[in-house]
Amino acid sequence: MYSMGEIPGDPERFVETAGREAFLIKKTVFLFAILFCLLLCPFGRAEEKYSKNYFGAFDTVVQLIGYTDGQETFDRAADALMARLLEYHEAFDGYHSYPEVHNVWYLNRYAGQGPVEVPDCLFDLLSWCKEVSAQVPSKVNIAMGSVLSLWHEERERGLEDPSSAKLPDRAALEEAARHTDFDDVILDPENRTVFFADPELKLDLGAVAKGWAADQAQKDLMETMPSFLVSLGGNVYAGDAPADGRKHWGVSIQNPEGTVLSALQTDYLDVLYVDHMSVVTSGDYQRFYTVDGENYCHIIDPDTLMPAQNMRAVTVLCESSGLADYLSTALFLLPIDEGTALVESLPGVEALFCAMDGTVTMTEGMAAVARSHGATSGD
Amino acid sequence: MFKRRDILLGLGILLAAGLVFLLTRIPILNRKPKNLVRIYVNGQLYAEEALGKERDVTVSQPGGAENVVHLTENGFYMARSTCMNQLCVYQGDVTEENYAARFLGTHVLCLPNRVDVELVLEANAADPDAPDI
Repeated sequence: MYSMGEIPGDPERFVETAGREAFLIKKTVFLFAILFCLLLCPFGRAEEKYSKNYFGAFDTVVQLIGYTDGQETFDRAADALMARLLEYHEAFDGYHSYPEVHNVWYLNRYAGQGPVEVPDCLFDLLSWCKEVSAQVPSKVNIAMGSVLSLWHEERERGLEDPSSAKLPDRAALEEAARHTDFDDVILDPENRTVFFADPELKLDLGAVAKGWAADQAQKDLMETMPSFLVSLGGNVYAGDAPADGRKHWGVSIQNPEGTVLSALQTDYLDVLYVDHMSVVTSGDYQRFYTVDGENYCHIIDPDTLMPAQNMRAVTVLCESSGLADYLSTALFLLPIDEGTALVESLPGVEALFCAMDGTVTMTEGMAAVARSHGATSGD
Repeated sequence: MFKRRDILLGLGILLAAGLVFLLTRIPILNRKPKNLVRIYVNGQLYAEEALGKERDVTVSQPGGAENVVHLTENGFYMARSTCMNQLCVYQGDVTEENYAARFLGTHVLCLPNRVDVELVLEANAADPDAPDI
């Protein structure tokens, strides 16, 4: 830009008052024109809907839907999300080892011999578990790995060869159950180490890992792509409202009679219209195997050491996905009436129960966002 | 004090701004090719196909995994897969009409082969109360 005095040719002209005034007015007009153009810019580029499914993390499918200004922004957010989830997956995996990762598998093997330094995410998750189990006492016990692994082994074997499927040995289950005290898991915040005071104890983070991971992922996505919906194998978190004019995302609740990957699912149990909320379901249809015509699900009651049989499924709605995940398992382990009472005692938590006979009941706050009670995406 | 040229330039700028604004709002000009099918393998885009005429798209992966996606006029279905459980084949067809009633919405998933097929619809074709997930 030239300053006025530097305009070549005729400097005197601009010293003249009238000339200067005209120049200023012109300047103003141009300024407004430019501002006007800038104001219009955002309208030219509407946010569009993108979605992608990933495999691998937590042995399930991760679905990400988001509204953003282009494929590139979406891919960047999605790739960062997946990188984080894969890191968690390795750290929380109790059944596989990974090079140089002191994960749950490693702890289950070596933490009985002495303190083991663990990745930050694993330490943070275990600390969170200590807190939540103190605040909301329940039957959920992440130190029940030795019992759960017996069920896990039989289930895997039974799924591979259904004709030889059998239940775990009762005596082995009872022996394993003697080594499930979460208080024996000693956390040292200073050195970020974990020590098992009971060397036979094993961790299994299945009831909390996905939810806790969703909470962390959610924070990233709020920065990179705020209008999003993410599902870690059914562990759903909804961010800002969808940027297409709707006020809420529609999150369907699967009917336990269908299977996750079945064809048409015209009869959802219900649809919840939510934003800034997590929705997590625990059901007997998610992971199970069959012995002598009877289905045995993956959620084990620590009292009976057998699969819980209180309901087909329960869905929890609350702001924290970790809490929703934890509570959905906790409620699955309780009779429906006791579960309902527990939920009603917790502020900001809602639940929907599907009883053994298929009857659906829900708390008031859940009904307020449920399609079956007249809610829509625009309310 | 305003020269004719200044006024013309100013008006020109306004006109251009208005034109750009209007052009971006006319749906026909912004319409993406109607209804696409995107095929992802392992989370990476493998192919993007416009719907129109019936045809098969074969997704071959090193190691022998193979899926055949059959495109129809208004949707697609998984015609064949080398996977062991064949759930992707049972997931049936996805069309603009039926996606809202499907559990996986606009997607067909083959978990064993890590193949994800998506029907990409024009945004405003959606029923606002259909579940997103």
